[in-house]
Amino acid sequence: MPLLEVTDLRTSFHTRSGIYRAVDGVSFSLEKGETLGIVGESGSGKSVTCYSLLGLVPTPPGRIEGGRALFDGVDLLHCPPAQLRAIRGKRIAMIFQDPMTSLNPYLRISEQLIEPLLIHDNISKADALARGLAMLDAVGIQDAAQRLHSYPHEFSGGMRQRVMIAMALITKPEILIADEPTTALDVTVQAQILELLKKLQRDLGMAVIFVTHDLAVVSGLCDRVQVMYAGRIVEAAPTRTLFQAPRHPYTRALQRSIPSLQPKGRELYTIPGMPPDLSQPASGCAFAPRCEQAVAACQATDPRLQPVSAGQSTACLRVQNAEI
Amino acid sequence: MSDPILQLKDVSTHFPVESGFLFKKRTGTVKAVDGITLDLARGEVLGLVGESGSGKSTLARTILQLVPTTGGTVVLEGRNLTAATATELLAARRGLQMVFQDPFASLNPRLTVFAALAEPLLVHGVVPPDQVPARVAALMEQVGLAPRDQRKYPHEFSGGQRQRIAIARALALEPKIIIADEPVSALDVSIQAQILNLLAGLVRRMNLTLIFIAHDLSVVKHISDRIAVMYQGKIVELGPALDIMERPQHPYTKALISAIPRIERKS
Ligand SMILES: Nc1ncnc2c1ncn2[C@@H]1O[C@H](COP(=O)(O)OP(=O)(O)OP(=O)(O)O)[C@@H](O)[C@H]1O
Ligand SMILES: Nc1ncnc2c1ncn2[C@@H]1O[C@H](COP(=O)(O)OP(=O)(O)OP(=O)(O)O)[C@@H](O)[C@H]1O
Ligand SMILES: [Mg+2]
Ligand SMILES: [Mg+2]
Repeated sequence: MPLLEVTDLRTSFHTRSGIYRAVDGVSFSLEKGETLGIVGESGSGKSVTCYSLLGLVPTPPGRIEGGRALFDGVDLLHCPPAQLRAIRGKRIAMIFQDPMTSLNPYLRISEQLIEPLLIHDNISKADALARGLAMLDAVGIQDAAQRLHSYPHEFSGGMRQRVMIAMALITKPEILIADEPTTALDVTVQAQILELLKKLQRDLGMAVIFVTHDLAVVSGLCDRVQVMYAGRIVEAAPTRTLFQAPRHPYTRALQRSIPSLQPKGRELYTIPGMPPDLSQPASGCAFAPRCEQAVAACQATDPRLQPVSAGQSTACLRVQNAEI
Repeated sequence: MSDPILQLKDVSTHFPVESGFLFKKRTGTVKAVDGITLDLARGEVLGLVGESGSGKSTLARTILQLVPTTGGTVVLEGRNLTAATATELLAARRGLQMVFQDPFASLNPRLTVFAALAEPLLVHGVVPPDQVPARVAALMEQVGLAPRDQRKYPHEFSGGQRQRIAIARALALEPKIIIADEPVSALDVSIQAQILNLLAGLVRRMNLTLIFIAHDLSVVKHISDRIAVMYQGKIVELGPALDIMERPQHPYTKALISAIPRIERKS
C-alpha cells in the first residue's frame, strides 16, 4: 500500500470574476522513501495541490470540490481539523515557496524554529534549542549559534529559505512536501541541501514531494516526475524516461525552453501563447491552442492520462493514438 | 569607461550583530558589502552572482540607498546619491527601479494588479490618464500575464505570477537602470526564457542598463555582458561573461560553475 494515495483531487477558487479550477482531477501515489517531482507551468496548480493535502487552502475563496488523499488510513481531505493538525508539521511537513511570508517577522528565528518541536514532541526548551542549532548547522548557516536569535529580516533570502527547510525537517517527518525549496540558494548551498535530503531519506525512509522549476535538480533527485498543465497532470514517468523520451508536447516544449541548454546570444526558445483561463469551461485539450502538434480532434476531445509505455502515462490524444 | 551611468567607489554597508534575549549586546559586525568599486556603462548588463549571504541584495539596496551606507559613494549620472537629500533621492529612484527578491513582500496586498501598475503611471504622468488601461494591459502581456486577470489581488496569483507582477511594475516607469534581484528563479523555464528575451530586448532597444542578480550562472551568462562574482561582501572576480564561464580564476567561481546541476539523462 502506498504511503500516500491521492485520487481525483479537485480544488477551486470562487472569486468575484468566476470559479477557477486550480486543481482539476489530480491523482498520484507516493511510496515510503520515494521522491516524486512535480514540475510544470507557472500557475498550473502545483502549490495548490500541496496546500490541499495539508488543509492549507484558504476557504473561502478556496474549496476542495472532491477527491481523496489517504495517508495511513486517514483521508487528509475529509478528516477532522484537529487530526490534520496533529499530522501536519509532525508526520507531514511542508517547506513553503515564499519564505518571508511564512516566517513571522516579529519572532526570532530561534523561537520559530523550535515551535514545531515544542508543539509535537515532549521536549524541554533547552533540548529543543540544541536540536534547532544542530539543524541550522546541517542546512549550512554559518555561525549558527551567534545568529540563532536574529530576526528574519536580518537574514538573506537564501538564509531564510534554509531556516524554513530546518523547520520542516526538525520533527523528522515521514513525508516532506517541498515547494521550490532551493530557488533562492546558490548552487553550492543547493547541492548541500539536496545531499541532506538524500541522507534523511536513507536514514529515516522519508518520502519527498519536490515541486520545482529546475529540471536539472529533478533529474538528479527524483525517482518519478509528473508534469502539470492547467490544473491537470499531463505526463507522469520515471525520471529517466521523462528526460530521455518525453512524449507529451508540453513536456517536450518545456525541455526545449531550458535557458541553460540554449546558446548565448540568440533569442531563447519559449512556448508561444498563454495558459488557458481556468474559469472558462474547458473543451478539448487545454494545451491544444499552444501545441505545434494539435489537430482538430484535440480541440474536441478531453484527453485522459493513460499509460503509453512502461511506467509512463501521457494525456495526449495523438500520443495515445500513436500518431506522434 | 567613457560614459558610466553608475559609479560605485569603495562602497561599504555593515550591520551590527546583536545577541542576548533581554540585554542586547553588540557581539560583532556583518560586513555585508565591503569596499566595492565598480563602473557600469549605459546599456550594459552586469550579472551579479555569489554565495547565499555574500551581500548581493545588500549591494542592490545600497545602490538605491535603502540601507544606511557605512562608507564610500554611489554616483548616478554624476549625482552622488550618498549625499543626496530625500527629495533628490526620490527623483533619482524614478529612473532606477528594483525587482525585489521576495515579490510578495514588495507588493501591496490591498492593491489589485491594475492599481499596482496604474499608480506609478499616473503619479509620474508616464502616459495620459485615458491611456493608462491600455498601458497596464500591455505591461501585463509583456511579462506573460493575461490582462483579464488585472482585477485580481496579489494573493490570488501563484508564486511565479506574482514575480511577474513585480517585474511589470519595475518596467512601468521606463527606468534607465533596473536592478533585478533573482527575477527568474521562481519561474518555469519557458517563462524564464520569455523574461530574459524581454529584458534583452529592452537593453537593445531602449539602451536600458541592467544589474541582474542570480545564483544560476547558466542563466546569468545569457543576458550578461560582464559577470561579477561576490564572496563575503567583496567582488572577487569580474570579467566578460564568457571568460568567467569558460576560464574562472577564483576558487569560489570554480566551485559555482562545477556545482551547476545538469540534466542526467542516463544513470
Ligand atoms: N487565493 C486564490 N484565489 C484565487 N485564485 C488563486 C488563489 N490561489 C491560487 N490561485 C490560482 O490558482 C492557480 C494555481 O496556483 P498555484 O499557486 O498552485 O500555481 P503553481 O503551479 O504553484 O505556480 P508557480 O510555479 O507560479 O508557483 C493559479 O492560476 C492562481 O492564479
Ligand atoms: N538588516 C540587516 N541586519 C543585519 N544583518 C543583515 C541585514 N540585511 C542583511 N544582513 C546580513 O548581510 C549578509 C548579506 O545579506 P544579503 O541579503 O545581501 O545576501 P545575498 O547575497 O543577497 O544572499 P541570498 O543569495 O541568500 O539572497 C547576510 O549575512 C545577512 O544576514
Ligand atoms: Mg507555486
Ligand atoms: Mg539576496
